[in-house]
Amino acid sequence: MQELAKQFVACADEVYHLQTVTGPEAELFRKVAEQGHYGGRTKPTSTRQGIYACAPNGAFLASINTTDAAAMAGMMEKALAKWKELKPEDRLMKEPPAADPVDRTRWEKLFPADGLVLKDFSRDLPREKPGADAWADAWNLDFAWFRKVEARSFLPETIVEGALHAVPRELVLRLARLHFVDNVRGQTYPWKEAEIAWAEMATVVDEVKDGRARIRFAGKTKAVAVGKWRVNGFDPNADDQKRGFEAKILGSATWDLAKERFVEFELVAAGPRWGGTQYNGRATDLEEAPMAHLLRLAGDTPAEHVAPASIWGYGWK
Amino acid sequence: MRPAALFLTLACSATLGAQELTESTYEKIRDRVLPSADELRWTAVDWRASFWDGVVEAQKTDKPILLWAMNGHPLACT
Repeated sequence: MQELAKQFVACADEVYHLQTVTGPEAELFRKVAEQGHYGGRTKPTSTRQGIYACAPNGAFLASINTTDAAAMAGMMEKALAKWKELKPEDRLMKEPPAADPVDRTRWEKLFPADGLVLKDFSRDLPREKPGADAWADAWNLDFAWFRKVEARSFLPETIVEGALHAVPRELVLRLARLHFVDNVRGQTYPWKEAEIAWAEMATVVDEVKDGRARIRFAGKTKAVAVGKWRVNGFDPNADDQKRGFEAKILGSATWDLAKERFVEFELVAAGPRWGGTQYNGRATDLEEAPMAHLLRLAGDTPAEHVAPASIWGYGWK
Repeated sequence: MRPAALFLTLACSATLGAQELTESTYEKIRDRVLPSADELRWTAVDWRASFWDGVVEAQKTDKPILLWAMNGHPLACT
C-alpha cells in the first residue's frame, strides 16, 4: 500500500470544511467530489468523506470510502491506470497555482508559530470488568493551540522557585470545553461553558536553573450535560441523555527563559466519562468508565500544523 | 480553590483505584494513552496537511493526487 501511495502526492483534509467554505481549494474539491462515490447524495447525510484520486486540474480518477485494504489498493491502481491515459494538458492546470491564495479559507492561517502547540491524545483506560469490545484500544488525536502570551500565562509573573500560580480560567476553560471531550471513538461536540461545573489548574515552579524553569501542574475539571439528543449515528431517535467527564490533571513542563517558550510539556487529564453523542460510538457504552487525555508538545511537520477540531470555539480572529 | 490546595488534594491522594490519576499512577496512565509505533504506521506516508498543498505539489511534480477527506481532519481528530 505504501509503495502504491508513493506514486501519488498524498494529502488529507477535513471534508466538511472543503464542502462548505469558499475559495479555490474548496471549489476544486467540490468539482472532484461530485464525480465520486457520494456525488449528489443527500441521505442519510450529504457528506462527501472518503478517499479521492484526481489530477492537479481536478480531473477525476477514482474514489472510494472504505477501510478495506484490498479495495483501497484496487482504487489506487484504477486511478493510476486512468492517470497514464491523460495528456499533460488534460491533467495539469494551465498556470501553476499560488501556494496560498488570498481567498483560501483556512484555520491554519492562525497557527501560533511562536506559541504553544500540543498534541492531544485520548484513550479509554482499562476497566475493572473488561468486555470483548472491539473499541477497547481505540484512540484519537487532536491539537491544542495557545498564543505566545497565553503560553506565558501558564507561569507566574515572577518565575522563582516555589512560586504558585493559578492558570487563567480562560485557558483552563479552553482545555475543559474544547479538548477534554470524549472523542476516543469518534467525533463529538465540545462542552458549552454552562456545562462546566468546575475548571481549575495551578502551576508551581519547582526549579529555576541554567536558564530554564521546571514547573508542575495540578488541576481538575468537570463537565456535565443533560438533555435530549441522538447517541446512535443515523438512528433518528433522540432520547433523554446525560454525558460528562470529570478529570483530574497532573503534569510538568520546562520553560526556556530566554526563548520564552516551552521546550517540554506534558499533561494528563484522567477520570470517569459517561454518556455519548451522535457520532462518538458510545451507543452501547453509556455507563461510567475511565478515560484519559495526554497533551504533549507537537513537532514541526506540516501534519502537526492541523488546526484543533474545535478551533472555532477559541474565539480567535 | 487556591493553587496550593489543588496540589495537596490532587497530587497526594494515594488510596484510590488503579485508574485514579495520582503521582504514583501518572506514568502508567500516560503510557496507556500514548499510541504505539504500530498505531502510528499511517504517519509513515508523507501526508500534506491540506488538499491545496497536495494540488500545488502535484502540479509541480506532475503526479496524481490521493486525497483522504473525512469529517474531522484525518491527521487529527476524526
